[in-house]
Amino acid sequence: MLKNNNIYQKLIATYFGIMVVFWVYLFVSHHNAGDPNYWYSFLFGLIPFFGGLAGMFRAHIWGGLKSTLGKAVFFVSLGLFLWGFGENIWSYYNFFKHVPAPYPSLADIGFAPSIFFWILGTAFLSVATGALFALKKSHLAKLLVILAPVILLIPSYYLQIHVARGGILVPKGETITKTILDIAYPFGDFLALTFAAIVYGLSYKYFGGMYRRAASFILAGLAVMYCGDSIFSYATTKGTYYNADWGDLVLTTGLFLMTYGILAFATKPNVEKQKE
Amino acid sequence: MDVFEQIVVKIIKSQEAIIGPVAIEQAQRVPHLKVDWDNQKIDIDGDEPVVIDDLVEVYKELFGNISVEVSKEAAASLISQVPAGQLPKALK
Repeated sequence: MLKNNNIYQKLIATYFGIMVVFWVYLFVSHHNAGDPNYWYSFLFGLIPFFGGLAGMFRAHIWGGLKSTLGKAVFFVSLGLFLWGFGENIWSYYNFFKHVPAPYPSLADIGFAPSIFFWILGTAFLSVATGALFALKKSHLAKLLVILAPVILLIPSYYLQIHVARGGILVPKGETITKTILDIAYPFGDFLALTFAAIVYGLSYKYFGGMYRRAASFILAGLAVMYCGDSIFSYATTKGTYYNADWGDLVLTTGLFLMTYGILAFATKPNVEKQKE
Repeated sequence: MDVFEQIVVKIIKSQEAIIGPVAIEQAQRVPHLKVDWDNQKIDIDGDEPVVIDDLVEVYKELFGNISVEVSKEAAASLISQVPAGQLPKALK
């Protein structure tokens, strides 16, 4: 699988493998608090932090903000970087303030806007993958755009509000900040999942070539992040959350998939190598 | 500039809007096609329909059928000017 990857993808895939081993070690040794768990949180946040940085700096290969794909690479990368930045602040609270789950906190300055930039990047990606083209050409595609949010809304509402938040979106006595974030996170996650599903569905007929896999990883990553955020909400509602729990492994996987996908665009296309 | 060279310019421009400078680099890989993009100069020194097919193919290698559709759209306004029997297969 790694044969056709660039150096950035090989590095991030290796690092992800190490993180999985670290998580398994914490799991089998029943670590659920303290520095080893804080280290896991800090270290998995480096995947989107450095992956996002690399993606932003390398977006110029595709024209940066002057081309559609350049914008897609830049904004998805910016979202990843912001998520990683948020995780760094989270770790600051862990290590120096001894707060295991700082929410809401300054970490949300990184987490909250990341979803917006992922959606924006995916919107630009939809042009390169042919989703927008399909939308212009096919009535079935238009129907999918109308139906997908409706179909996803009901199970999403059930999962995000009833299961993950115990049926209460905004508990009484909350601060304004927490109220806004409590609404913004599930809504943003729902939008990102819907966008990913629509872009994947519409692109299916038209998108191929050597970047098909990369785009699929980005869209799959968005879907996994939706699951990870839902698990995080569920665990914090039930009071069972701890750093490096299984929800964090899901988040690590989602962030890895998106970062791995975006890093495919961090080097110039090498068609000859791809054909080997 | 003949109609085939105009088609090449249109295709490269449409791809450039989507994938940036990679569109020009990929066009420069096509045999029998000389691209001086800074001066907007195109020179085809071979079978013109085949060269256009090859140009569309290099974009298809990257992004699949959407690249073909984008190329077709870009060339659409010039297709009527192509001599009979010389329409590139990729643009049919």
